[in-house]
Amino acid sequence: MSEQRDGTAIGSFPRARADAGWMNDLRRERTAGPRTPHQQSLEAPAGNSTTAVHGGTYLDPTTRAVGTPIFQTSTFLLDETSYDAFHEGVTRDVPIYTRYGNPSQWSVQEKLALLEGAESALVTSSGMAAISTTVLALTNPGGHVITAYDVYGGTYNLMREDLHALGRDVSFVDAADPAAVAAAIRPETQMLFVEGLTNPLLKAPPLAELAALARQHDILLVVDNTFLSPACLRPIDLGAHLVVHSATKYLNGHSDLTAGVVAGPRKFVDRVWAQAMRLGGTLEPFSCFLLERGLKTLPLRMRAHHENASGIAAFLAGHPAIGRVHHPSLPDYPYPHLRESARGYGGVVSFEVAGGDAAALRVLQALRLPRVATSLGGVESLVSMPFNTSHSSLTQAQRTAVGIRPGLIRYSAGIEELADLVDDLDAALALLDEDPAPEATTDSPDDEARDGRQEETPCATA
Amino acid sequence: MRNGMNIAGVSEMVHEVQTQPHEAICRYGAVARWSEGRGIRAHNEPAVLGTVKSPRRYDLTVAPEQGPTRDDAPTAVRLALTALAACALTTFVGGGSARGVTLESLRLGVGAERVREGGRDRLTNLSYDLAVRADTGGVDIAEVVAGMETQSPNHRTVIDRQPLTLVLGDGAPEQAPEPAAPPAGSGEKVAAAVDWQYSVQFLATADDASAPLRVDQPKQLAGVDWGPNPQEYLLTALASCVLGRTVALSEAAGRPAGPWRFRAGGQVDIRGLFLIGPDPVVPVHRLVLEVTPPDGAPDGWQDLVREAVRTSPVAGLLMDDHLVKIDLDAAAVGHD
Ligand SMILES: Cc1ncc(COP(=O)(O)O)c(C=O)c1O
Repeated sequence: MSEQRDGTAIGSFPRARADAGWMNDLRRERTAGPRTPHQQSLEAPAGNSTTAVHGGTYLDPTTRAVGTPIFQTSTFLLDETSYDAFHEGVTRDVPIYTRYGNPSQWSVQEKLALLEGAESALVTSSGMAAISTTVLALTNPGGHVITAYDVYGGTYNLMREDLHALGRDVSFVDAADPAAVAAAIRPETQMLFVEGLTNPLLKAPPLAELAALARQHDILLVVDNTFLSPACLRPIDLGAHLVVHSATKYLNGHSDLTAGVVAGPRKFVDRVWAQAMRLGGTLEPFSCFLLERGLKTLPLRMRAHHENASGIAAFLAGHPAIGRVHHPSLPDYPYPHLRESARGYGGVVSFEVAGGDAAALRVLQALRLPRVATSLGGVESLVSMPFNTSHSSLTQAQRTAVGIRPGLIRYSAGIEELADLVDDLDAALALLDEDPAPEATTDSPDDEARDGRQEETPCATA
Repeated sequence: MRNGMNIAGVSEMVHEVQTQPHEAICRYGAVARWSEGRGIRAHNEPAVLGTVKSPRRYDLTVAPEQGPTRDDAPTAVRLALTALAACALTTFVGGGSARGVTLESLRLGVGAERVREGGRDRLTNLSYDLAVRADTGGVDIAEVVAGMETQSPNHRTVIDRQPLTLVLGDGAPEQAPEPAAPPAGSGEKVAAAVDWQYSVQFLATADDASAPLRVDQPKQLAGVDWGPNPQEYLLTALASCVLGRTVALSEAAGRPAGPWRFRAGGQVDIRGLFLIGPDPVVPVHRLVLEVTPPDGAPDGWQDLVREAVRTSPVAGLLMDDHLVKIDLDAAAVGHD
């Protein structure tokens, strides 16, 4: 059996050296990818939906399958191309070993990079793998990271429990306040890590402003875009250097996969890749297939999520049993700049049941359609309460300080019929009238809640 | 990978700075402080490499040029010689690797004569002993050495003249005084040696009792953060040397020495190292020394600092031009 492969077809890469006389004669430049010539290229800029369907797809020349095959292998036959790749140090661009790279990863990575407007992307075994690997790869011992005190709990714990042990110092600030971010900058600050839309209160930091600040101080801006996805917001267009995701959420969209992604210039993503090779958070081929398949419907799903969450927000905003509703579509939403940069707000809507946590728990029990589960971004609606899940490690006072008040429910709207979701909510809330809740909310005004927020509030577990 | 260097990575950097010249500018800084009892402590400042920052958290104790050494601390002169040798070797490894030379071992001993007289203190008669063991792949090692001589930033700083700007307290930036002419006659021999380990990592030793020093580039510049880089050692040497002399002059003048702070800054355009562009700037340039005197420093402290610069062996090494005699001992290994 022939062990020769078409070296120009797979893993072809520009050589670094052309009889170099000195370093200036080295010829390799960074290119988008990695990719194989069998991947569908979108020459003209395509719309999001077109990119989601076609971008990066591997068109198998042998079988002419219309979808990317699953390259379910951990290793690849070695040949001259592989040996050259080792020698030149370009092992990211040649299939050698799946922890280094695999065409299943490359296909989905290219789709993700195209969707985010990035040069390159890397898929990882979870959102946390993407985040931890990115932060470690792009900072050094002695460096300083600025993040938000209300970042996702897993990220918070990484920043608070691990980074200092690895020689990085971290400041926790209100990322929606550029003055607070600016005040935290030090000479050794290397990274500003924020979420495009926060959990569960949907705060939106002014990304363009933060990007300008970061660039002025030679700081990398990394945006966790999990809650919006590139179908709604492209942080790189606003000046962010890199984007990370829990692809477990909207990107995959079916609550059946754990994965992560980092996207950005190849200069930085290559370094994250090298770090990922060492730390080991690779995404295996079958998961790549699932993620690629999920991504094909991302824009379609995001429209449905957005419409459902906005519809639910509008319904709840006028409901007597409901206190505050957090959603960007509502007139009192405190971060209106998001409306200019985003093409939708995703599927999350958070709201306070007027009767407090006990009443909210009764609503959860009464709901028929959304499943009570943590996570978000799947086609099915999910509900959960921060007080007994993501933010359970906080005291009541700490929760109030970060704006999580009694009775808060996080509703991740799926893609079901809006009318069904609203009817279901309506019926569940009506039950509260029959048996009024004993507990009352503490109704602190907005300013009070904000003043009470402290730097370094111990935040949530995952 | 060749010699532990990611050739493709270096190649991509070469291409990047060709198309985005601002990414080629690397700014470094070192701060030296003196205090009663602790003597001179120096640390590096965060480096800005193009548009990326690297914190560079390294500090060390610097031994006084005269009198008892502090434990195994290096002197500023030793730091300067280490910086010179390590930069030359970094350049050699980069150029040699690009040309296909596979190294087995590489060592550069740098020697000088230190002549002191009447307050003047100068390094003269500089020489390199370069020992190369390599599979040359047919490349003439002398050509790589020639590339090292023209493209090594620290080496060029020493062989060419470089201006130094002084910022004394709140004063306006001023040109540092010309270094005092070297005294005639011969002096004490000083030496340091640097051994290549892997990629751009080096271990520097000296024939005094001081501990070995690690040299490496930031991970943003193909290193692994193993130690300060050659430019950082050079700036540490400059700040520490002038600081040490200022303290000595101050004490000699019967003025109490307080907690002085000297910051040395400089930048490298890596297009010089890479040999990109019609006339790339190779040496470390925009050399600046910013001095913060102790509270209540006596009137005229500025003159003490100027005199310290004028007579500092490290400032003289950087500001004046020098000849460096190079002895090459190259032996082929492998299948040439
Ligand atoms: C905003 C955000 N970032 C990151 C993560 C972590 O992702 P994963 O669970 O895929 O590791 C999550 C998970 O909930 C999240 O909500």
